[in-house]
Amino acid sequence: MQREAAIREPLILGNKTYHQITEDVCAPVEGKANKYWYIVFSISVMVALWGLGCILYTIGRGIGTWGLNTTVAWAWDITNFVWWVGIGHAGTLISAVLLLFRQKWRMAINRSAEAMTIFAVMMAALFPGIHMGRIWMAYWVFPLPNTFGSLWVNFNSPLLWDVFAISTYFSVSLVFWYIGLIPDFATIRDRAVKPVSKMAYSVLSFGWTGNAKAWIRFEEVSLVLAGLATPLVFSVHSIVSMDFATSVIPGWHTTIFPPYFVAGAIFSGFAMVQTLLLMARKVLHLESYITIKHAEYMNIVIVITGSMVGVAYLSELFISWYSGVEYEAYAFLNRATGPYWWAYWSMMTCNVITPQLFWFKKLRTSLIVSFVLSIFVNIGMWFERFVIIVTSLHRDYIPSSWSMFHPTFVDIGIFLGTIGIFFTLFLLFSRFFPVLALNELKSILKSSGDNYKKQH
Amino acid sequence: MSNNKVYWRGTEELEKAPAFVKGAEKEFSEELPIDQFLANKDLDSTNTSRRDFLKFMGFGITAATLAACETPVVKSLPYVVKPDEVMPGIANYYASTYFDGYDFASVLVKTREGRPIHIEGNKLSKTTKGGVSARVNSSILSLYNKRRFDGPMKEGQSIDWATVDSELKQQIENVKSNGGNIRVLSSTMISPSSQSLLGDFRTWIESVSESVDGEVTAQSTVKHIMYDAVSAAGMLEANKRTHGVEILPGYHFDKAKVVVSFGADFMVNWINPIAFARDFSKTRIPGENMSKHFQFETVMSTTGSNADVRGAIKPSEMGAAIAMLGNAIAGMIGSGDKISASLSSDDNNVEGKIKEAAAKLVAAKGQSIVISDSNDPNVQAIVNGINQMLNNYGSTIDFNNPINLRKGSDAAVVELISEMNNGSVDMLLVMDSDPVYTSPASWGFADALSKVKTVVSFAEKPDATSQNAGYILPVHHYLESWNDANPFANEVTFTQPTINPINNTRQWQDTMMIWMGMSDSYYDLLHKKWNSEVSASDDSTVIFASKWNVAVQDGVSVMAMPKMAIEPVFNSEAVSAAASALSSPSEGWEVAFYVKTGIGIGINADNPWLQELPDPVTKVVWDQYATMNPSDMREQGLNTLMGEQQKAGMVRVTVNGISMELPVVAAPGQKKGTVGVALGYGKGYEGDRLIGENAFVMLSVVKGFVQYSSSASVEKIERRYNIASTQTQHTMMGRKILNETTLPDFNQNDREHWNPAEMISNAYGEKVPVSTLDLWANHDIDLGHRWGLSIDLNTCIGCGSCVTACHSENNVPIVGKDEVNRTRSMSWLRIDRYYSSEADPDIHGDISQEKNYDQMEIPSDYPEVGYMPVMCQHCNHAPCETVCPVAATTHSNEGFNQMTYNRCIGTRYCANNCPYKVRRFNWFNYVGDSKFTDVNPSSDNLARMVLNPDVVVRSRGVMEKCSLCVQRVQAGKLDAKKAGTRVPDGSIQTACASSCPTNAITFGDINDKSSKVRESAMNDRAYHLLEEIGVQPNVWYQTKVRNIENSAEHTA
Repeated sequence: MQREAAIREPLILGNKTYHQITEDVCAPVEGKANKYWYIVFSISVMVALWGLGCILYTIGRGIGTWGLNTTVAWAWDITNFVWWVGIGHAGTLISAVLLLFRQKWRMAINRSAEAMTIFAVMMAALFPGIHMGRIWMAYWVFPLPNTFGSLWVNFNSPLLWDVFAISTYFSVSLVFWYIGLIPDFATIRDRAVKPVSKMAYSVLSFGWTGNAKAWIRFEEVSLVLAGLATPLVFSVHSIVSMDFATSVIPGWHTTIFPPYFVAGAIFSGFAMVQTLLLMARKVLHLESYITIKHAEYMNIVIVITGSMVGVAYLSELFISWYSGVEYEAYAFLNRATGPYWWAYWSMMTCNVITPQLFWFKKLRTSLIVSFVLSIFVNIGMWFERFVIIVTSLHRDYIPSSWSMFHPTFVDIGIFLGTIGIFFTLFLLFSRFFPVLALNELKSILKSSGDNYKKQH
Repeated sequence: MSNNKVYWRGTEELEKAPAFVKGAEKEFSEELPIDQFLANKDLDSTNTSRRDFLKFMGFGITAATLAACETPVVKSLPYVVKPDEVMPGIANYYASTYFDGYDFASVLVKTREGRPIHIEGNKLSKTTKGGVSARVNSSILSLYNKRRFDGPMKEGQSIDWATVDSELKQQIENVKSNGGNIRVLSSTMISPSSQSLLGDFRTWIESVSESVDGEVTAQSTVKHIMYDAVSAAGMLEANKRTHGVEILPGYHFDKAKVVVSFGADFMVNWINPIAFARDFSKTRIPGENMSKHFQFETVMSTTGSNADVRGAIKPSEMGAAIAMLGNAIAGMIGSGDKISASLSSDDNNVEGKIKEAAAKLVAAKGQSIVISDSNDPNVQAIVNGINQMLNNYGSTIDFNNPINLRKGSDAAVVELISEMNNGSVDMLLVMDSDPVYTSPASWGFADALSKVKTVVSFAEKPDATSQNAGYILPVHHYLESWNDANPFANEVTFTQPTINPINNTRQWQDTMMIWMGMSDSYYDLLHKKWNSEVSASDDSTVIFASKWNVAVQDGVSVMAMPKMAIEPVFNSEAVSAAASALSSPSEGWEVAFYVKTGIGIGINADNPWLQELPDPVTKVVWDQYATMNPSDMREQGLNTLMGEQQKAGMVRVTVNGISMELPVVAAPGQKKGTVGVALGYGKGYEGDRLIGENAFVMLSVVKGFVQYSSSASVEKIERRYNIASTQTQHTMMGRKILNETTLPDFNQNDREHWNPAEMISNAYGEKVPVSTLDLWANHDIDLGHRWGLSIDLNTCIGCGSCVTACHSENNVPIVGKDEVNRTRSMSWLRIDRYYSSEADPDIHGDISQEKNYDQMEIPSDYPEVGYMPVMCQHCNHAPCETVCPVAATTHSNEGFNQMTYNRCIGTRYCANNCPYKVRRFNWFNYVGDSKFTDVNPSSDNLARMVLNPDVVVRSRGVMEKCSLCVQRVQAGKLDAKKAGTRVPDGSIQTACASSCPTNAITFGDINDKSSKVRESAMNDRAYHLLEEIGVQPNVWYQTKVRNIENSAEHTA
């Protein structure tokens, strides 16, 4: 049995027993959803349906329904893609990297963080698909044996690297998440009284017996998957950044991109986790498990990664001047002072300036401030991608081709739609899946639980 | 209630015959020989087993099912008897002549399987020499215009030819017997046969009326009036006064060392622009003999934008400016009287520029040209006086080789209108002309027309005149017609049909011959006329038939034409008379009416290729607008920016009591205090939207001559209007994009000075040329062909002929105003227009120290202009190729950057990564999407016929771009292979290169040591666009050299 220093703050508050934890986590699954859930769910489904309608309209009529043009051939589509991929980073980082680093506080948040990752990556994966002019040919990006002659994919293309990176990341995350869910599903199965749910959770729990051997294997698999997932956390966004870094466009062609994108991804991922968990904590009454300390830990990660992103922004600016490259210098000056100055300064404010407030303990332990700032970061990180993509493209080498990007209702609809789909999935998750890793939480109850700490 | 009726099958059933009752229960009345069949022993010996039966069944059902699922059958009918000259897949070329009363060109018409699909210049022509303009090569699409009339009409109702002929014949008989008057109104007619036919018509009418009962009651008369929408009557009148001949002389721009043009847009609009631009381009080769071009004008015209020195003047100052030039020259050569003249305002050193022009003209005496587009005979007379002082007649200006392209007389039309008004015109025949549209409102042509008893319009498609005509007898498109033309004294050209008439139309010549009871066709008339002409003047033994065939095949002929031998005597008194009659500059706002490079005088205003062709200077498409100097606009609080969400401000321009409300477009270089309004609008449509309004009605008439400028009142109105432009950023931002230098710099310094190679530091810190440092493995480009383009920025005049040629050759979709406004023009080739000026320290700060980018975006009020055609640069290290995930764009071993449409999945990464932004994405299904039904020709079943079958129409969602006309290259290579030779240099031409009137684009094989393109790509002026990023294009640009002392001189 592990012991923990008494001065460490407890991670499970209140007088919880193992049974109490089971009861608390299973309550949303077994009980009836409250009014708020239905309201939020209905709104999410409606927004999701609107988004799906916009997607179908795009597929039916053409990419011309978006605001893109000859000069700015990517805008909200890839902005949303990178934004969602970035958000999809926190889950795996929390469950894999923090597992390897034995950070116990991850146990309260990793389940929902991973779910969020899965859903975010699903949203992200949507965009490379629907942004294609001919989505019905999308399978051509896979190196499939084919009868089209000796047609093969182009391994030089960063977009192909994306295909591999995202699909690998998605499958590993999914497996990792699911493996973690098995013992918890089994718990629900064992408690289920209705035949349908008993049946469903039996299937989902893969016949988990809960014997010692199973637990040993479970721990081993988790460790192996954590080892596999950890490099993916860094590789996925590095590769996404190469979509830009390997190009010739000033503002994209930057060697700093891989680490800068990874830091940004973790930054935005934690912000989204923060947003979701602070809501879940309230709605699902998980105040004992998701504590202020948890929020504080995440705020610390946010302020650190936010500062890294800030350093990256400033290095970019410095290098654009220091390089003496005409086009590079203009690209960055144009970001800050050109027609899209508002996007740049929104990004700067939300990503670099406001997270610095977390240096103050009072602010980083305030749930309201944490929530508001996490929304700021979500917005800021969306603007970061918008700034990188649109303001670099809209004024590149040849001034005669300079133009502006104006989104259409379809652009907006699809973006909001993915948020709708994401929340729909997350709300369903919160009703049917154990939102906390209850069996893992039990493993720290006696070392980090409030009442046990008090006893020693 | 149930039905109690009994139904019976026959009397047997009714009567219940025993035989029937016995058989009634059986399905088959006769016994089936089943047992007998099964007992057949042969049955066992057959090879068809039960399993085979099932197999056949299965196959049968499957085959039937598959057959039912077959894709729709598209019927293509094979020739029953194949015409000898048509080989499917092989193009036929026919020489022809384009003349619409305004533009002239000798052309080659490319037909495929009987459909004309492309127009190129006819290189055999001594005048246009293979050049075409955008208006000429777009005329192919007008052939397939669905607005064209289909069959004759009377009072708006369809009628058949026989009826209309008999009705009109009857009316003509009536006119004849009553001694009435028939008037024929056309634009300048240059067809000798048509003119002689009109002569016959006149003789027929006038002679018959005399013979009625031997008693002449009243003499019928026929008069042919020629009237040009943009008149040169003032010039003809001036020539009559100063030289005694009412003709337009030939101009030899190729012999001119100094050209001074006052408003004449001679490269794209003035009289014979294709020939002038081509000739003048020969003098624009940088070196000791490069010509110098001065332009003094109001609106920044295409020609003015290409001038070495340009002065902006008000329209009313033109006479004074010309007089000042005359004074300066007279002062230098010590002759002539001084004319008192001064400018009302001079904000761009016009006076200094005129003095310089005078000095250059005097230095190049006898090798210079001074021209003006003024329709004021006094102004033209002074121009003639200047040319006379400079001894230009006989050398650069030649009365012995006159141009017949403008013969219209304003006075004759005025006379016609008064005749019409007093009711003495019984019948008016109108052809090749739309006088109701093109005449000034003050003439009241439409009112006068209503007083004519019978108006017959020989229009091709609805126009303002045909709307007011009782009879519409629609004529063929020129590509369906026979004709001849005599554009210049020494050249005869022929028009021949290239397709059977699409609609139920008839040439007016044929109609007239039917009226006159002649049994043969106009073709026979042509043939006979030239037979007699030739046999009268030519004694060679070659029979006429073979000469005729050669002439029609060549499209041009030197078949005997009477040689001109005019010895004009200069009458200097006419000049002094003109000088004293010169009107003086006026104050206040003035409006200049000008003709646009694409739309022209509106004849083909409903041609979507021309509507979507960006104006060379403003780059605006699909709209009419007023141009103003940006500083005037700022003063009035009008928006000078352009873009998707930058609506243009509007002004109300009022001239002679007629107002037009127009959006305003900033046109740097336009004289302050003036507004430019384009003619030719109010005729074309985008879907149901009538584009613009007719500005011809606002023209004023001074002393009988139509004037293309006027004083006006201009007031801002609060409405705003969306204007679509293909270019919204107008300066180069201090980058080396369009490289340019001055002639002295070019002559005195080596290339390091004016076209330095881009250098980069290598690993040892040494500066080396960019091209020597390379991260990538080279393509094997030294073997075989390596196709490339070289574009001479010095001779490119920005006219856009290449753009429409490319649309025609490569089936490039037309996307309409809204899509252009969204920066989604599909043009594979764009012409970038940049304004430039010396940085003004007051505005721009010290740009060498600190870049003041905001200010660099704003062009100066009177800038220099440069044009740069940009298409796919076919980079050897193409950024687009590496990023495509499915390898849909790849490099060929002949230097092409190839686009495989059916592999493309449309990620658009290639377009993003293209530094030149030349890739075009199919945002919609431009053929099927409802947004483009009325805009894109290929969504119309008739207009689809113009599509080039060698080039696929791209589907939605794929990327496309310039292919360097790979289909032509393949065809050329096959021809060479069949001939067993190397591909001869020049035998393959891209559409842009072959359509260029100034030969600014050269295509060829860079690996061919003797090719022209290699020669120009290797010369000192050559450079790559964005060389510093190392993509190694196969397109070279030739540095632009301005013939000025230093750049400050121009912008003043």
